[in-house]
Amino acid sequence: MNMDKRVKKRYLVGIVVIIVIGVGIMSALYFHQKGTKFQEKSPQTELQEELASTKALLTVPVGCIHNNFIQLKPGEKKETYYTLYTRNGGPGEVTCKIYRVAHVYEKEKMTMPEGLNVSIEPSKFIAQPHKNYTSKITVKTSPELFPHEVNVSVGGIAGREYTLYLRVIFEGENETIGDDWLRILVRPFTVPGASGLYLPHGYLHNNSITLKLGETKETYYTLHTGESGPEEVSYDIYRITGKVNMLPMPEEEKLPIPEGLTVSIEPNNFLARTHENYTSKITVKTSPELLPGEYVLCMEAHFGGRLTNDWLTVNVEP
Amino acid sequence: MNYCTKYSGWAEKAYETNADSFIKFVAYWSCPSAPPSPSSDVVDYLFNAFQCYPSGGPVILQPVLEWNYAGSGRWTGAPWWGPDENNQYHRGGPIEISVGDSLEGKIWWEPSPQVYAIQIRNQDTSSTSVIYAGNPGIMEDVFLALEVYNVDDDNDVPGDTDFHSMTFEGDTPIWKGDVDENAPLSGLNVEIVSQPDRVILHTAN
Repeated sequence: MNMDKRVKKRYLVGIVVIIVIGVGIMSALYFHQKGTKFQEKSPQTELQEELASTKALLTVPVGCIHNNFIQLKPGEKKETYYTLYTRNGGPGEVTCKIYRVAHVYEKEKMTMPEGLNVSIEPSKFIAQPHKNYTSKITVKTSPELFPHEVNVSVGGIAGREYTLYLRVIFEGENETIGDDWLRILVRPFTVPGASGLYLPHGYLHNNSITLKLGETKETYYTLHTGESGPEEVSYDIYRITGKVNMLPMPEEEKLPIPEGLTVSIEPNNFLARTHENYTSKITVKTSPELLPGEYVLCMEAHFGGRLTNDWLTVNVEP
Repeated sequence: MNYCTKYSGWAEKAYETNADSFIKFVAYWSCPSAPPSPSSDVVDYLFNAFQCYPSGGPVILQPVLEWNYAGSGRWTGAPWWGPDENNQYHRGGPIEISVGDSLEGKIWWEPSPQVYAIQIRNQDTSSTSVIYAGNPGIMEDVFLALEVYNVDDDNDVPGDTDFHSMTFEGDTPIWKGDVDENAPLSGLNVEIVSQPDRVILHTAN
């Protein structure tokens, strides 16, 4: 096709303009993303957010599934439960919907596979303030859900996991933290490891603090609940020799906290739900009569029957 | 809350979940005494493990000492990992293990062909099983654990397990203990003998 020179020139100019605009848009997007990436929160901001989130979790309506992981053979049926704690919320209608998602923390609905049937009962009810409401979740499977041949003397695919999302709407209570996830592992024989993928764990923000006589200092402990809840959390802080690291700590390793050293943790003794972080403030106070030196403290966390601990070394300077 | 009369779960473990990145973890232990008088449906697992957190959720890599897997009534060893991108768990071929055998559990990054390998080796018989997990992510957590199924008393769990001479590449853990007081077992105790190379998981046996 013959093209007039002026038409050709216009085409070329048009292409150049499109390229320039395209490059401009891509650059703008690139630098916007970089800008977002580099606007990381400061540790102080993160801590303030964690503390605010903990405060909310202790006051707003909350709920969670009791056992978020179920292992079963293809063809088996199992049950677990969900409890909503209304606190100040209500009266209002509660609606529970359960459906399949790709994995924990995802909310996008997926098609339920053939052979997996899940129900929650009751799925709709009126909830009053300061009450707890429990629904039963029933999981039924059929053999086609795990279509693999398992030869235990050779190895191979040993199990297949499905994740369900429970959406809980408490009418008029927009702050409710009540959604949760349920993992279903279908396998002919038990699978190691899978039940512990979301175990609770905790950490001290500082493993040692140094303060002068008469000073007060703070640090923090964060508990990530994982798939444990609804359960009571309690903390216990005591002094140890620091020579033996055992859990539970033998009584002979415990020492009295000396006069002049006060340690407290707040909040303590509270109800926790699944998949959340709870941050408590540890306050260490010294008075002038305390002997300077190193004091090793053991912080014990009890949650959902699990016991874990962390050590905090307090260095007291004259 | 436990609605079953029998307990299943990680009864005790040592863990580090506040590290950056591990690329190799080797642990040695002897196969402990078998459960003294277990019910037929009891299964016990002992392992060292890495865990990573790709966008699809946590993935665990573990050389596992298995008691009564698939109703075998004996000790076996196999490398495990999962879930993969299709949410499937994988088990490598099992090896035979007897009480008192020296075991090596190893997980490491193989730069070529860029995969994580999981291996269990019986040092007394030289039998080895290895499985490859691809590259599921950065290994942020490490564990040593006793996981049990369908136990209702101390007759269902093995003797003490002494994980020793442990070595790491990448990060180094500072072990912490964790015991499940819901387990109907006495004598559970996580003893961190020396950081980071020796941890004993005690039971009543």
